[in-house]
Amino acid sequence: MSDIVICIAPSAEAPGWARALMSAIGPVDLAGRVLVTESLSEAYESDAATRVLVMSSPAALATRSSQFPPGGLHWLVQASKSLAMTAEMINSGAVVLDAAAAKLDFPGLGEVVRSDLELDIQVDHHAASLGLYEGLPNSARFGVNWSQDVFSYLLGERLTGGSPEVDITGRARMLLHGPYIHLFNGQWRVKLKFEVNTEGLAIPLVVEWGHGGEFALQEVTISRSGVYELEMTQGWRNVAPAQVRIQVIRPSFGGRLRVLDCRVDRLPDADLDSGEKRG
Amino acid sequence: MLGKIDVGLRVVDLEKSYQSGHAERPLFGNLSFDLGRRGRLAILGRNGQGKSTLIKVLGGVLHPSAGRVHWSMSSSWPIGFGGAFQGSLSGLDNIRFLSRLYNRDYATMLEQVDDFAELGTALTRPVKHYSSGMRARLAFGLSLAIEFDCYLIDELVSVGDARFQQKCNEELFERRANRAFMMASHDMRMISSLCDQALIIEGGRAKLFDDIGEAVEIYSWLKAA
Repeated sequence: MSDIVICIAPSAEAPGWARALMSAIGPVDLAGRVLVTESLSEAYESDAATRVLVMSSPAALATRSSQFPPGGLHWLVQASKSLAMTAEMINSGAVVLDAAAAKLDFPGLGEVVRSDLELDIQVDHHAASLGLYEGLPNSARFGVNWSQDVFSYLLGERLTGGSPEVDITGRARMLLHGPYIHLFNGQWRVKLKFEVNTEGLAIPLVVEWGHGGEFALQEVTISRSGVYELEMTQGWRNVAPAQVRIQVIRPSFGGRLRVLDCRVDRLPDADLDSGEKRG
Repeated sequence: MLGKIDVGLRVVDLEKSYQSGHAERPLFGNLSFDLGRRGRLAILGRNGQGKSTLIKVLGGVLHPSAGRVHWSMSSSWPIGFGGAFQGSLSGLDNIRFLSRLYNRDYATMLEQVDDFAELGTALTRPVKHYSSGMRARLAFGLSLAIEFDCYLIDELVSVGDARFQQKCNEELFERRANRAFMMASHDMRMISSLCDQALIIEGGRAKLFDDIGEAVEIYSWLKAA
């Protein structure tokens, strides 16, 4: 076990820091006291007494932390996981160093000068969904609005590919799920606004918010067309992908549904003991 | 999606309304679908929603309020419907009349109908003296003897006893397995095993389902609700 873990988070400057730290660590860390890694997961799972994060902006971290092209849903999931792990490490006291600096003073290593520089690239499309991390490393509150296009909509037997204008006609089934954006420990509240055209029917829905096997749940029967808003709170103990799920729980001859907005906020730590569900 | 050559029936924007006091009440509307030459379509709906009316419109017994029905294959009259007979003529005379109308050999047709309908000497009596079951058996026998490309079946259960129904099933669904049919029924087991598409009529709307299991689930729920 190392006493200090230095994590070089993905950024334009990361390769320069990796080279500089590797050359600096050789003569110093003979006993394996300092671990340098470019893996956020390795740093996150480490139980070292001191964790050091070398990072530039959350956007750079998001852009470079996935092998998928920036902007797609797969990228969104991986990028959010990196950001959530970063946020949790910072929350639990990790030392944050600015990767953009030319030289830094590392615990256990002293001053190290960065080797070189690279240019960053731009993120687009789904990047706004990661907005809750944009205040890193200093943010105390995390919140974001997710648009309807970050969710996955079922198409026949397939879990994706459907339209955000959901036709509820059909058997009892999941209508939408996702976005699998990773959140970190704490209480997270969702306010989901959606529009239902009942087409004269009573439409029984179950709306869920959570991760893994832990979900807050509300069951509602919509019998009048209109715009509805539900609020739910669910706790996260570790970094885990978030899901909003809407299911129709009986076969339906008609009806349409569309998500209008999905506001997600991390409640202040003082509220950690608040209820799991708020309707 | 069916190719043009495979389409045996094309229904476009079909609508049927009926007069209720001074108001027109829609039974169904905006109905469009194609049926292939070997298509097997179930017509599902609770009582009074318009299944039989749709079959009668497709069979030419009733006029639609709007829309078009274009057949490019021959279709039977609605089986289970005996309303097209000339009541004062005997069963034999009705067979003779239809053999001329459809250009079939009378003797062959008589033999086939007699063998199937099992009406015996009752064929010599005027059809208006038949029971509804006898009329349905005569109509069913005639439709099989004429050999249509597509059969319109309105609740097969209503025709005759269990033995006769078994005979109908064999003749329709086994010996004529390569024909198209449209069938209105409340028997979900039969629908599930025989049909590959379903149309549900409910509250003035009609929707087509390519997944017969899904249609049966929805219809079963509508019926139970």
